[in-house]
Amino acid sequence: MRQTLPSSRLEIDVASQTQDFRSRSAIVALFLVGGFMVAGFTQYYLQVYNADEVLKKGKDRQKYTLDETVHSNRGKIYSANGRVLAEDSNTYELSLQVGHGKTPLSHGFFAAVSKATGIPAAEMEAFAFDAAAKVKPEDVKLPIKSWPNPLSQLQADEIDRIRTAWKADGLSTTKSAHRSYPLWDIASAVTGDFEEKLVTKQVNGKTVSVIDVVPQHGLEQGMDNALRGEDGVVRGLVDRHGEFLPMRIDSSSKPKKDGDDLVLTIDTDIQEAAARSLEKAVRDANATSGSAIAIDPKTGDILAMASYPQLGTGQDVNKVKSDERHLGLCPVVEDRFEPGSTMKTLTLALAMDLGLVHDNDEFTCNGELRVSKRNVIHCTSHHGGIEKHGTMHPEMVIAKSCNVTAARWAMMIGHDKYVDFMKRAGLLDRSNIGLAGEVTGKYNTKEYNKTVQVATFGFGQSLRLQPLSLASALTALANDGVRMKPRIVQKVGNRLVEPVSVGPLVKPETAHQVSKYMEAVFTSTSGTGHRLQIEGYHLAGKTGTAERIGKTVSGYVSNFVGFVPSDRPRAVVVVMVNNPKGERHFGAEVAGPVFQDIARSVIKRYDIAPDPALLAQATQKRQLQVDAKDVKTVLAKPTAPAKKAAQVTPRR
Amino acid sequence: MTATNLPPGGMTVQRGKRDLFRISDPFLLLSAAILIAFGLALIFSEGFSRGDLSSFRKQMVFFAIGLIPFGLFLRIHPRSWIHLSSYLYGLNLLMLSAVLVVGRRSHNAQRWIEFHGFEFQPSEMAKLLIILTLAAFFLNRRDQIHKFSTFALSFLHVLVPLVLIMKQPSLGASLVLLATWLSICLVAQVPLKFVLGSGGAIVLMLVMAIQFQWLKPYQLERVEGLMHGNSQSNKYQALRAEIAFGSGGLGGTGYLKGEQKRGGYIPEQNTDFIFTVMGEEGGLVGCTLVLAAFGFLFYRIWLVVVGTQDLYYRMIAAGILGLLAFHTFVNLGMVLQLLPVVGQWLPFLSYGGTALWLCMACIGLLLSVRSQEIPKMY
Repeated sequence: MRQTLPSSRLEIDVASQTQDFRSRSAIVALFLVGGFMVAGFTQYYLQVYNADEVLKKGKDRQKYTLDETVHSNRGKIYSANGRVLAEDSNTYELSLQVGHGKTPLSHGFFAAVSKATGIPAAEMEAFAFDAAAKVKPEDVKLPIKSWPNPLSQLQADEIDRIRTAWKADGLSTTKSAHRSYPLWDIASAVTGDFEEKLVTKQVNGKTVSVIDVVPQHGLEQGMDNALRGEDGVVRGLVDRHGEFLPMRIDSSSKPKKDGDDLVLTIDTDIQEAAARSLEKAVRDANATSGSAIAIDPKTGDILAMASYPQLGTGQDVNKVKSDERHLGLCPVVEDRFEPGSTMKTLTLALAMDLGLVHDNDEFTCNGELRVSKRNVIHCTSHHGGIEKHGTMHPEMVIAKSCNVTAARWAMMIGHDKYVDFMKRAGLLDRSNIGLAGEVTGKYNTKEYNKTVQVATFGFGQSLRLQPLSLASALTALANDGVRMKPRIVQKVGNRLVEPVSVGPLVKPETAHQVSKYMEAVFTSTSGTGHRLQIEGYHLAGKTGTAERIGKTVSGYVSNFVGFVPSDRPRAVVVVMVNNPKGERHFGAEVAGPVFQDIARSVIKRYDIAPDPALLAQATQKRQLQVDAKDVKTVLAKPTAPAKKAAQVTPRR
Repeated sequence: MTATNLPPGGMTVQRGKRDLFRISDPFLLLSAAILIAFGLALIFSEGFSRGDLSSFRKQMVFFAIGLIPFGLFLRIHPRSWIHLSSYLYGLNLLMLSAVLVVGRRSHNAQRWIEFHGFEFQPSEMAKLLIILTLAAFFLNRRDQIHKFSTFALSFLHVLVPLVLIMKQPSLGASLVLLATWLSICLVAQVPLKFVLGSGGAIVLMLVMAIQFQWLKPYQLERVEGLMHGNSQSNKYQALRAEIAFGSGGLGGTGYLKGEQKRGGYIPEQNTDFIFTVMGEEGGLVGCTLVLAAFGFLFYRIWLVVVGTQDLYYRMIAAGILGLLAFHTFVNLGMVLQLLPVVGQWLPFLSYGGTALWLCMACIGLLLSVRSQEIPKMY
């Protein structure tokens, strides 16, 4: 018993206070019971009665249930020999979202980000402080800014680390749409590119015009569906650091689907030869643009498809007013040109196929042909005057490129049959092989005088064709009369694109015959391509120098088409140089050398062996010339072997 | 044996050395132990999801340390505090003043004193000290208990530490002091009109404080968050808590399997929002178990209040009941979005040394009080 402690016994009137105390303890009990009831009821309400509604609130808030787009990788474009023509560059872009504490407004933070990315801290701070100050508490959409500076994977990883360390939810990196074209200067016509363009988009149900970077030209645009792939979506709960919780990835999530890689039929060696040579030709001739195509006639595979100038640089090159419509286009498929005399080969093929012209038929050209009251067709010499070709077999008509005879053949064929033939040859269609912006061949369908029109068709005037379609039509002559659908993509992802035959265009004999005639262009001393021969090889070809006739255009289109080699063609080559403005404008002079370079590269690429007989002849001929020089005698008449070399055209 | 026959000087049960570990009210101790066990389990679960069990380990240490104040209050005769009350009051003011000078700032408030790596909140200790000093004060003036002056002086008694706490600032702790004061007044036979009147006045003051923006901006924002629900950052904590409860449902997701918790969505989840872990993982069933444990604890304390014939003991028990019940209900109200987020820990469950020590000291004190009273009173 501790008596020292003061007493607090309720010694006073316990009985009288009991009543009062009971009511007081009742108050306490009431508070407690009431408190528990409220807590219990609320609990029940939240967890059972209204649980769905509560969970919905969580979803609505979306702060920690995120929709994140997983960007797909765009497919690569490979050449047939495995070189990369286009690929995504692995770079990232920095984005910063401010407001609601998403980004710490601290100098230290921006200094860290700046150190990692090289973006000046002041630049980021200027945006962040300013924009964050304007954010209102009820704002849902927060200001965001991206910096285009490409960041490497390592830098992006560092940004991730900073985001975690600073709890900066607003800091993010996204894979940027940078695309690299390692062989851009030679293959721009094939790949196309990405350009800024004003496009209309659906954003939240509204149609708005925005400047977007979209694929333009070539396969990038044409094969966009295959290359693009599909972005995935990850939808689900994330933790505070923005990492998705694996158990709670929503079922509406969708994995990304990478774009398909394309394997082309393009051979970069031939492509390079074509592009380099074409560039030189266009520059030398002071031309507006040029196209060069090489197609394997057996399969329709496009081995090379070059254009100059490269995409996106058209504005700078030799611009004249009349050529404005050509600017910014990829001339190989996006523009059309007069085929000129190269068309005579097809005219002859059709005429022979229809039995209108035979090998032994003779035609006489006196320099002009009146096809109507007002229209006279001329054969012009290199010096501008009228040239009378005289009487000749079809072979010489091709070799000498006689307009009058070609016009006559075309008139024999007749307008309807000629147009039908052009349709069958695909000259008036798009090739639809995955290249964007293709145009169709065109002629004036409302021409009143069809006789005049078909006469001019005969030698490739009043007619404008897409270069690729011309090349495709010519494959029939190099492939036993069967035209192959051109093919530039041989593999989309894992899917092979098989060669497709369009069917016979002319009889095989006709094709052989015309092809033989075309050899004379090289072999005949009076052939327009005589100087373009390659020693030891049989080549077939046809020059073309078309006049560009129209209200706004003038000048010429210099063309050259040919088969390499002619006895077992590996490539059909079409070269078109648009509007050479130099002194030389004839097909043989401007486009011919390009053909020759492409032919050489095809020969080299496929290790085509020279014909020993031809080599021997050439050696002999050179020896004779040397001998002649040495003895200083002028040969009035070629000696027998030399004459033979000039005329003999051994075939198959 | 009737109460009136007891000799003056209060009834004490003489205890020998072997009584050292005899517990006067094993049920009271059991309910507290259950709650502490719940708390440790939930803190483990919370840390487990983050892969960081340091808070769990620390809480274990805190618990071990807490046995000291528990034992101290259990062993020291509760009447000893009456003599010491002036010193206790002085110590209280000293500590509360010290924290304003040398305290560590965190979360915009200066509440912590650091001592050899351990942090200590004098405002928590003040809650217990004020019970002891206030009970002593009323005891001294028990003849004049009906006078308004007594009531006014008791308010003054509370007001001085209250002002110091408000300066930290800590609105929550201030309200706890007021609640404790009122509950002691209630059992000290202070006229009901005073008690209820001042209780009403406090509520009115709070409402006006919100209305006229007397509160600190962060305090106000929390209130705003509750009222209007569109203030993202402040409503956020409570909303996440609500979602945790919602996803828990009736049966919960299972121990250690909560996703809201796993995601680390709920800020301060192991302290003020520890109940949300149970909400998600234990569901309504688990929460009811925790509430039942609290109910049982309060019932045992209430038994002490009504069971004792001793005014001093009754006041102490009522003060502790007021303290713990206020903490519990405000915390639950906050977590369940009935009240603003005022930062009140949940007794025994929340992570934090000082809070746990306070709770354990209270239990020690209650057991000590219980052992002094006449057995078989009820």
